[in-house]
Parts: sequence; C-alpha cells; structure tokens
Amino acid sequence: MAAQDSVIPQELLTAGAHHMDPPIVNIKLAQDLLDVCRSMSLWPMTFGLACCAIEMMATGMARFDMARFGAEVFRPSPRQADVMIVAGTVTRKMAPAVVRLYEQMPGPKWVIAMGNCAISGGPFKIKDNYNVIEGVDTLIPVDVFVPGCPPRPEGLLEGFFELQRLISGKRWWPVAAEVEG
Amino acid sequence: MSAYQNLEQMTGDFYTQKFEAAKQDGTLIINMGPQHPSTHGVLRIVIEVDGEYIVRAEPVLGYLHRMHEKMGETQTWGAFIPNMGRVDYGHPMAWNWSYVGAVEKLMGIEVPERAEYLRVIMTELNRITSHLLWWGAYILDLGAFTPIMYAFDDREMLLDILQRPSASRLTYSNFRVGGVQMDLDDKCIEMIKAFIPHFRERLPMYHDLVTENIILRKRIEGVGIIDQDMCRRYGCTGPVLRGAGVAYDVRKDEPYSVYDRFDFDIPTQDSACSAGRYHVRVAEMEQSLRIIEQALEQLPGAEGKHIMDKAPKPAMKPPAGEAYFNTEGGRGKVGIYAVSDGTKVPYRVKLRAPGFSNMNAFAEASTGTILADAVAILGSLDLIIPELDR
Amino acid sequence: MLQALEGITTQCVAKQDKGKTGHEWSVFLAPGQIVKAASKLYEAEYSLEDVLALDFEEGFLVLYHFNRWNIEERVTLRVLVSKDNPTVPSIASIFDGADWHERETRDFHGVNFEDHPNLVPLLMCAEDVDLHPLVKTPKVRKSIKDILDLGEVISCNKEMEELFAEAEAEEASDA
Repeated sequence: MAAQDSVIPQELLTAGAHHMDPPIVNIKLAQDLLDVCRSMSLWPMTFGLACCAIEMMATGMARFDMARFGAEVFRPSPRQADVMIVAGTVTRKMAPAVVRLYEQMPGPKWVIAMGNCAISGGPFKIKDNYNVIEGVDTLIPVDVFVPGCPPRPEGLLEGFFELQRLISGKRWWPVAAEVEG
Repeated sequence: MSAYQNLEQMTGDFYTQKFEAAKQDGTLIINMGPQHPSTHGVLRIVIEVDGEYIVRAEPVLGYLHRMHEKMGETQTWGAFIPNMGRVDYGHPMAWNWSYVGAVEKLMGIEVPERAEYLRVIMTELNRITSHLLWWGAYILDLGAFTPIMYAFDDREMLLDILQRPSASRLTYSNFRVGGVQMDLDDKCIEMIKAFIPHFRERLPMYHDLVTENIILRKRIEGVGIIDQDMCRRYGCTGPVLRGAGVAYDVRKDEPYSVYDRFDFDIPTQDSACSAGRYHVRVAEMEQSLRIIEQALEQLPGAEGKHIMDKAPKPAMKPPAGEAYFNTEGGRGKVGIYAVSDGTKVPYRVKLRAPGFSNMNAFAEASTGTILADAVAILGSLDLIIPELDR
Repeated sequence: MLQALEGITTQCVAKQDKGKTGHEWSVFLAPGQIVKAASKLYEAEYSLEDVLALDFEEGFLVLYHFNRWNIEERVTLRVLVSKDNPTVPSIASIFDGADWHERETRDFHGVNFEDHPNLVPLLMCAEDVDLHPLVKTPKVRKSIKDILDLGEVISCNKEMEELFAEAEAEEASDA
C-alpha cells in the first residue's frame, strides 16, 4: 500500500508488529496496480459490536449497497478478510478478543473505526469509566475514523472511499452534490 | 482418565476453565462467540457437546457492559435520555418511554393528550422496525439471504418516516419528560398513511415466501420449548411468554398512556417452541399497523401540544421517592425503577431488560438439542445484547 | 397478597400508591425469611421481575420485584443488610431467573448470596471480582428515610418504625 499516505503510527501498540516484507519482485507499476485491485475488492470482517452494526448492515443492504464499491462479501472469519470495521463499543472484557482478531487477519490489512465509541469511547467516556475502552486505536492501529452515533450509511461509505484513497492514492467516486432545501 | 484434570495446563480464560471443571467424558467444549456471524452482537456461549447434541450451555455476558446504571448515577435526569436510546437499539422508544414515564411518575406530571398519541404512533412504528430487523436477521441466521433484503427495504421507508420527528435513524432519544421533542409534520403523516397499505401488501408476500416454507418449518417447529412454568421461573415476558400461550401484554394488562382507547388483539400461540414465538412476532406487526391507523384517526382531536408547557429542564429535581414504570417493548416488558433523592442526579436507575430474563431461559431450553437448533432458539429469543449487558 | 405471604414473619407491610410508585405492596423482611417468602409467592403464581440493591447509610437494601400475569399487582420485598456482613440467602433454587439477577447485584454492590450455585462475575470482568462500581461515596450516600416512604402501613415492628421515625417527625414539624 502507499506507505507515505498511511495514518498507521510507526510505534505499534500490539504485541505482534504489523509489518509486511517488501515483495521480492518490486516493480512500482505492478505494485500500484495491485493496490488499485486491493482497494476495489476490500472484504470486510463482520465485527459489529453494538448499534453501529445495524447501520453497517444497512450499508450492505439494497438501498446503500456497499457491494457496488467492492465490499461484496462480509466474512465472519478474520482469516479471509482485509478490513476490520470496528462498529461499536469495545469493553475491557472484549479487548483481548479484538486484538486477537486483528492479529489473525493476514496482511495487508486495514481497520476502520466506525462510530464515536470506536473512536474515543463515545457517549460512554465518563469520569467514572471502569469498563469501556476509550477508542479502539489504543489497542490496534486504525486507518480511517468515521464519526457519528451511529454514522449514517452514507458516512460509512465516505469512510470506505477514504480508505480506498489511502490504499490506491486517489478517490475514484464522485463527491455527493450539495442538496438545496 | 480425562486430559482436563490438570487445570494449569488448560488454555482458555476464567469462564472456560470453570466450565471445563465439570466436563464429562467424551464431550467437546466449544465457544459460540463473542464474535460470530450472527447479528446479535457480542454474546458468548460456552457449550459442551456430545457429538452434535448439547449437553450443557452457559452464556457468558459482559462483553458489552457499558455502565448504563453507573451513568444513571452520574448524569442529570435529562442527560440520561440518550442512554436509553442506546441500551436497546432495536426498540429504543420503548426504553425512552419507560424512563420518562418513571420520571413523570416521580414528579406527578401529566402529559398532554397530543403528546401521548405521538408517543404511541412513534413507538408502534419503531416496533415494526424492530420486528423487521429481527425477522430479517433470524432468517439470515437460518441461511436465507433474500428476506433480509426485503425487510431492510421496508425498514428504510420507516426510518425515513421516523427521522423526521427525531433526527436519528437508529438510536432515538426524542422523548422528553412531559412530551416528545418534535411534532409530526404534515409530510410525515402523509408518509405514514402511504406506508400502511404498502406494508399490508408486503406482509402476505413475506408469509408466502418464508413462513410456510417447509425448510423453515422443519427448523423451528418443536425446537426450544419454553413453557409457562419456565417463563415464570425465569421471568420471561413478551413474545417468549405469548408464544407459550399466556396473553400477557403490558399494553393491555397494565395499560399506560392512551392504549386503552385502541382496539387491537394480543396474538398468542400455544406451541411454546421457536415457531410459536416466530408467529407471534409476525402477527404483532399487523396489530401495530392497526394501532397506528386508529391513532392517526384520533390524533386531530387530541388536545394540547407535543410537550407540556414549562416542561422540566434537563437538570430537573424530582422530589425524593421511587417509581417503577414499564412498557411493552419489542422484546418484552421493559421496566425502569428510578429512585430520586431530590437532587438533579438520580440516586439509582435500575433497567429491567426483557432480554436478560429471556436469555436466562436459553440454557435450559437448548439442553438436549443439536447445535443447529441452538442457533434457531437464540434467534427466536430476539436478543439485543446491549440490553442484556447494560 | 397478604394471603400469599401468610405465615411469614415480616418486619413491615405497607400498601403503596400504585399511581405514584408503580407497586402495590412493600414488605420489609429479615434475610432469613426471604426464601420462604419467595416460595410462597411462587406457589401463588407470581413471577420474578428483578432483584436489585440500593446503597444507603444504614446498609444495603436488596429489593425483589414480583408481579403476576393476569392480575396487575406488583409486590416489592425489601431486605436490609448491614455493610459489614451483606449476606442474603439466595432464592435461585426457587426462581431460576434469580441466579443471574443476584450475580449482577453482587457485581454492582458486593452483596453476598448464600447457597448461590455460581456466584462469579456476570457483567464485570473476571479479574474485577472486587470492584463494585455502584457503591456510593459517603458524600453522596443518603439515609433510607430521606428517600423511601413507608406508605400506608398495615403492620410494622419496632425497628422499622425507628428507622423511619425521624422522617415522620421532620414531616410533622414541616406541616
């Protein structure tokens, strides 16, 4: 992937380092082509934890249809997925599972933090917080943050386009026009 | 001699180890969840199987414990309403209503009539979205990919209607102590009036496509018996109880608001199995349509506005005391027990979630069934996990 | 309901205003009586709604809400236990649903339930077995008489009267 565009911080917080060896035959044109192919067929992992999961499902359904943009198959198994869309609140009991699932995904892999809870703990970031992880980026590296509680399906689609831009270097889809009234 | 005698060598966390301590010979211990390809959320069930048959099951909760009751003691009375939108994202208006109803009881407030009708219309529309979500997801769990597409199509029409008075699609927090946040505008009422006949046409289509399907019937009939005695011991309510033959619905048995002015039935089934619960929910969607129609007819004649005059501010101070208010949610009897000490922060807010009690019956209902039936039973209980874990 | 709880020694039985508080009967019991009371209610066809605890200066007040399906009549059983030994016998042998409710009450308040089949953390992490988040700090904790109202008392023993006595004296002085 286009490393200079990545928002993944260099200091990783997981026990297993997210590191990919460069390919043996490293031709830039071929790598760019592969990046475009990867961005057009991102397979998400069904990691819906809470309310945002329903909006993620709605994004995959007939009205908004993420399959048009490449996310055809939602894979429950991390071994078969590229993108982990963390949709919902991560609690302390769930945190080891999140990290383990991230580590089970084969590279190249990306993470979209969907919803306020995954970004920062959301509405549950209170002074006496004892159970909610304040942002999934304290556990795993995150590429795209999609704010909202829950974000509209259009918002998740925009986050998806942003991820495609990070991977392939350009945005392929038109920006939605301003609607009057 | 079992290989599991030496506990130090076992892998797995605290709950798995505790479960394995009572393991029998010849069985296998597997984990269902907390991440699994069904849309219920983060629920984990540790199961001991003998071949395909479940010998013992123990749900492990807490993977989505979001401290709602603690927030009930740190947020002000009005600032707790958005929490109620998130504790059950399937039918959040029932939770909104239970909470503001409890606070109104504490303060002795009378809600204007128009607001009551608005509450009824919005809650019943929300009940239909909740049942559609349940229906689509249940059939998806059982292996069919098409019905959920149709269900979400209808649901999107309803979300367009409901987002006009509440400005949200999923986690509604538009109830206020003393009424609701916004009135329904004329366009919204037009959309509801157009939706009702459209949905009445779709329901027979769903019936033909799915309900009489022989594969579905074989998978859910006779599976997961939760009879009346079990319901009493576990405190099950809602379609689980009505599927066992008891016609208990909070809207008829403890009528609140203006529900006593409507003519609607309480569908029940006697089979006490997953098919019974399925049929109850599908029939409830039709009954909700009837209530909405009657409410729309009676709405123009209602007095008052959508919220009382001089409604309490979010930092309100109800007098000291306790109040218990319950409503009928899509999953069962939703109850809020609120204790006030006279300050602007509640002393205690206890959320009585119907899913918590319904899930409790799962271990007993699934013992002796096969693993595929466990999925069918779990879906028929209609769980939304944030409600269990709060 | 009084017939249902016949034969149980109660500390205080009172009728409450349904419209204001949502329940009809409020019965204070000693911890030793709760199992018998629960089995009598089970025979009288009540179902368990929930079990919760409230944190007061005088101790933890454990509440049990029961209700019937065909007749609307919520009964609240209340057991007051002290802070240094918050132990109540478990009713999980009669109402299986109480199993999870009592585990949750132990998680939030630290109330110990005797003879409970499986008293491990339900909602909290297993490592947080000693963390009880809903126990209040002394600054915000109030006394039971500041918050709860006895209602229309049918029968009451000495200790309960004394517990609520100051509140009545204050009300009399306000009136």
